[in-house]
Amino acid sequence: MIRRPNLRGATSTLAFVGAVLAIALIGFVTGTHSRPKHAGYQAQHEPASTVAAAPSYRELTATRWGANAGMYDLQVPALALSLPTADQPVAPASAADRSAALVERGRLRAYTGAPPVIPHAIDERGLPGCLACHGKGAVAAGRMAPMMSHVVMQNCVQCHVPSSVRPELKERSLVENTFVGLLPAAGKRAWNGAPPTMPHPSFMRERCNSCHGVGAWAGLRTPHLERSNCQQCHLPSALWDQRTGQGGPLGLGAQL
Amino acid sequence: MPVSSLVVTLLPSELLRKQIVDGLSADARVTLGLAQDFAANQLVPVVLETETIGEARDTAEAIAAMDGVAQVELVGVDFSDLDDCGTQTE
Amino acid sequence: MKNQPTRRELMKRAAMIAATTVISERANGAPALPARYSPHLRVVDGVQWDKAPCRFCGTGCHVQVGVKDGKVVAIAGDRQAEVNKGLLCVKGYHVGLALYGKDRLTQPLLRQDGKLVPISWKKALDVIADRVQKNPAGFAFYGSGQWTIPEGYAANKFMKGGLSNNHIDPNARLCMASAVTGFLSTYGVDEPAGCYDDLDACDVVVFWGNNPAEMHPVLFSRIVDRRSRGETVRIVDITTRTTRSSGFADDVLLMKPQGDLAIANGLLHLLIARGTYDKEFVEKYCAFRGESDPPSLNGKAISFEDFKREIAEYTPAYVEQLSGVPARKIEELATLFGDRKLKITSLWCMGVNQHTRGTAMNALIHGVHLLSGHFGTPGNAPTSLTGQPSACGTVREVGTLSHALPGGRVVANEKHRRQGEDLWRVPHGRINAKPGYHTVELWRNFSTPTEKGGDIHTIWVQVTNPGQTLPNTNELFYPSRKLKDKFLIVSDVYPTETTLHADLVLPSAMWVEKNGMVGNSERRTQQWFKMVAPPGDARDDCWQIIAVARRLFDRGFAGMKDKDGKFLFAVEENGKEVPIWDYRHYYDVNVDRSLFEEYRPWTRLKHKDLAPYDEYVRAHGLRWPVVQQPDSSWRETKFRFSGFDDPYVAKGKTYDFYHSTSEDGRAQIWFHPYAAPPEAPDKDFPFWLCTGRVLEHWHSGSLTMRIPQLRRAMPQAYAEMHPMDARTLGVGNGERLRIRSRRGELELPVWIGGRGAPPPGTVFVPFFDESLLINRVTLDAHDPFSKQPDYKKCAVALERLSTEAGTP
Repeated sequence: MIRRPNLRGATSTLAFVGAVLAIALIGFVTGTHSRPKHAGYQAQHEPASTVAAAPSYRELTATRWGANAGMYDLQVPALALSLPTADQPVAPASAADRSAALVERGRLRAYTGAPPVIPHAIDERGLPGCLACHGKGAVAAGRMAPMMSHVVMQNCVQCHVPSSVRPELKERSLVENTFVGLLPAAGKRAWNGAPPTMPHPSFMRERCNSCHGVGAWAGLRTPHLERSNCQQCHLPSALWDQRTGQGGPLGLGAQL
Repeated sequence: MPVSSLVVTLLPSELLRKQIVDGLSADARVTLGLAQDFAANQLVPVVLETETIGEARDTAEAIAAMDGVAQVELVGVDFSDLDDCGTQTE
Repeated sequence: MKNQPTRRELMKRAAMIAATTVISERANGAPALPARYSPHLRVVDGVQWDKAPCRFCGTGCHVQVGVKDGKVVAIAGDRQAEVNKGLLCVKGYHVGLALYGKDRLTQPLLRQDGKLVPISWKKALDVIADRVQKNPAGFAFYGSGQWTIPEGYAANKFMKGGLSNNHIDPNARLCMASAVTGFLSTYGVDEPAGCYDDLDACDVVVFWGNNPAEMHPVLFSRIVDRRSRGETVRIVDITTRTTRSSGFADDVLLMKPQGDLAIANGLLHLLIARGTYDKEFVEKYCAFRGESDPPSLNGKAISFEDFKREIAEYTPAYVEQLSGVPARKIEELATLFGDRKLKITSLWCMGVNQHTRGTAMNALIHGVHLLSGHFGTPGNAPTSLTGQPSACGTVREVGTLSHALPGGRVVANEKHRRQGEDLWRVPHGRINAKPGYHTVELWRNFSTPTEKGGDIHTIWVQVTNPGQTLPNTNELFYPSRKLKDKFLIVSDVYPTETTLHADLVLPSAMWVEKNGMVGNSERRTQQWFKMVAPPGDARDDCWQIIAVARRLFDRGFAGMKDKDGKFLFAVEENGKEVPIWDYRHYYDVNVDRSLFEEYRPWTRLKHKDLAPYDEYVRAHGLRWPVVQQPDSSWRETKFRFSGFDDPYVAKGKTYDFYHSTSEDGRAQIWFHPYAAPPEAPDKDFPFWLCTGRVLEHWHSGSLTMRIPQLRRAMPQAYAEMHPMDARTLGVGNGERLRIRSRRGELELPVWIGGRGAPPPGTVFVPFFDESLLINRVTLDAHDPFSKQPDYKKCAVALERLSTEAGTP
């Protein structure tokens, strides 16, 4: 068994994030890259001699991993540049913008609050290189890679799975599912003109910019990108956030 | 003095129902409405008049914990006569 | 204006009108909330949220279920649950969709002239009662680690207390049985000493043939997310193929199948040879055991010197030869175990359990931890994981196995039978002393013609899919379907390979369509309430059992009466029996609560004390033993056998194995030699076949394959192989391959560069796909103690089928 030597030494989260940025993905722009043909796919994965060793966690800090390692190395800063910046004026969203944005969001989610599926191919074997684009968000070829809405978790593919069938595998059973998922609600305003409260949990959505920031769908983007302390005006709900779970039927949970 | 309006579901047991109704009637803060049968259970509208919302919650939980009570649902709380620094506990 | 009502009176009047309006709306047809008082119920924007454990694996995450207009509409991770702290995996986030596959079974179906035709429940109950009365001794129950605790308890009582028949065994026999025998032979009592808290504290975690990144993702994240917080945790992955978990590992020990036996023995040898074992811990708290003749779970006592002599053979060089793992790697791992300052947790699941030496392998991992003293403090634990939500709670604790009774009792023990008969209030002699058939035996018998001695005439299957998940189905399952007098009853929620071949199909309620309780891998018992109605005429599995029992009772069947002549499952309220066998009245009382309270006294014998039902309503699960405190509160136990936490450890003792098989408070360190696998690749069948699971699908896929998000991500089974083997065979990605063993064959597409990377000479196939049943190929050889088959290794031949990529 061939193994690369482990690089000993302290590993900080920052170093990890840096390493992941260096790891590239198979193109996330579905449709603009043709899918690799099976022969090429096979050849790319074929190691020199015997079985490929898995990289150790520490090796990640120094090693790139995956078939297309390095593909976007130099492009990530450029991709980030194509996002609008905070000082550009943003028009308030129209109702049509908003419903268009919700339709787009809904395509990738079973219900509001579900982890979105991945609308592009991924490298099944490499460690998740998701942060390269989703760490800060990026725009390329008219497609947006949203910034992740929650803190960094290591095993991205635990919750997010590809939405399309791989070329090697076929959908054989096609039983319909009649589940109707919960739709997103609009925030409540105390009076016309008051800042709306959050109509969803803030848990796992700590980073408001993911959906409401510069890289967001027009219909969900905040009209005041320059303000960064969102919860100063937009209050989270203790009920949504499960903070009053012990309250019993009266735990301010029931509503008229 | 917040006024809470509740629906209390009683399980099908004559003995327990009597105990519950007797117990609640003895409590000056509680007003019972007209009970209605629902499936095997009985639904009772209840109005609670308490010093604080916290007390209302505790009382409702106490009712829910009584033998023979299947559940207590809160319909609404009117605390419109609380002043600004009122006795809100949450 | 004296008669004018005051403002307060108006407020009260308005409040009364509001409550009365709600009631009259409900009486006029608005959907009722289920009768429950859940302290966790929240209503947000018209959606009712309440807690439930996830329906899928044995991790035991709690989810928050969002219900609107009588349907589940959303799921969220439960932030107050200690197990998952708000996080789920992709299966958990989509668990609500499992209820809504369009082809739910909604009415009882009976096979008539070869076709399944709808019948009434009344008829269905009569058919089952007829089958029982035909010959009660030949009626068998095949259950599940997905049975809720009350369901398993009712089935066990129905069979052993009602029919005096021990032919009841669960699918967990295929998944957990070797873990049980490993615990019993080491500690004298089943289930792990540690818990998930160890994962937060350990410095090193060792995966023994385990891929938790896909199979127990929430626990895996609990480990690797510590790295995001700047903590260090070293992962050692002992495996036969590199997986997603290997990707996160610091050390990957790629071994030959069966090499784990050599590795564990090699560690034991090095700890002794180097003198790095924990002398004090071993002298005070451990004893040594060797295999006896005839073999038994207790073996024979041996001395430390005997042990040292026997184990000396397993030098790093010899272990390298047996396992294929470089000697240097074995030495490194032994160094970690020899370091008392490190906190080490081992995790394992099917790789160790589905093993013809599964009992031995389980005992050896316990032995490594005991000998090295990595035991009993937070972070130091050998922890076996389970695959089903209640393999522990229902199968192992309620004892729905052919040899067991609830609470760690066995039918062969007369004292245990007497206790059981007293607790069930049935006459002495009611419980049969002879163990029933274990799973493989049971199905082999069912598939054997009656005239050739196959004395099982009927099997009732609940909450499992043996037509897909039994090994070697060509021999164990399908032959029975051609025998006229063998009758198969299946309770399920969807059509499966098993219902397809059944004679009677019963539609069941699932998950939050019924009340339930389960027990997860860390001894945690969990509870939930019914939140939505089941579709059509689908009904609770527990009700089905009680209704059949009542039908037999009404026909005068003596077994369904207790010693006073009362119905075995009578539930009384205020001295009056509630007719729970009539489904309209099933939820007039909480039957789960009643059965659970009846079961609780059983749990004290082996110190697995459970709290009252209502405590579980309040909590997000509690880990047993749950013991009442002087202030009358109930306290759970995280670290069993450790004096600082376990209330049953004798006062003043640091550790106490109070169910020790040597009856002196000691745990047993076993010598189990290496043994070759029963079948290995040869000239005719040159490849190893390993089967297993994938992240997106749970077991036979009957639930997850109906969830579009999961099905699209992983649509079908495949054969995963090394690119060099693929080139030699001339197959490319997506091309089809025939996998053939001595028992059966299957055609599959090849996926190279997919999830895992098997070494040359090995092919991996997941078993979730009902259209590609790999268990027609697998081996039914099983462990001699646990009777658990080995799905992880057998010999196969591979053959290329076509040149066109993806030809269907």
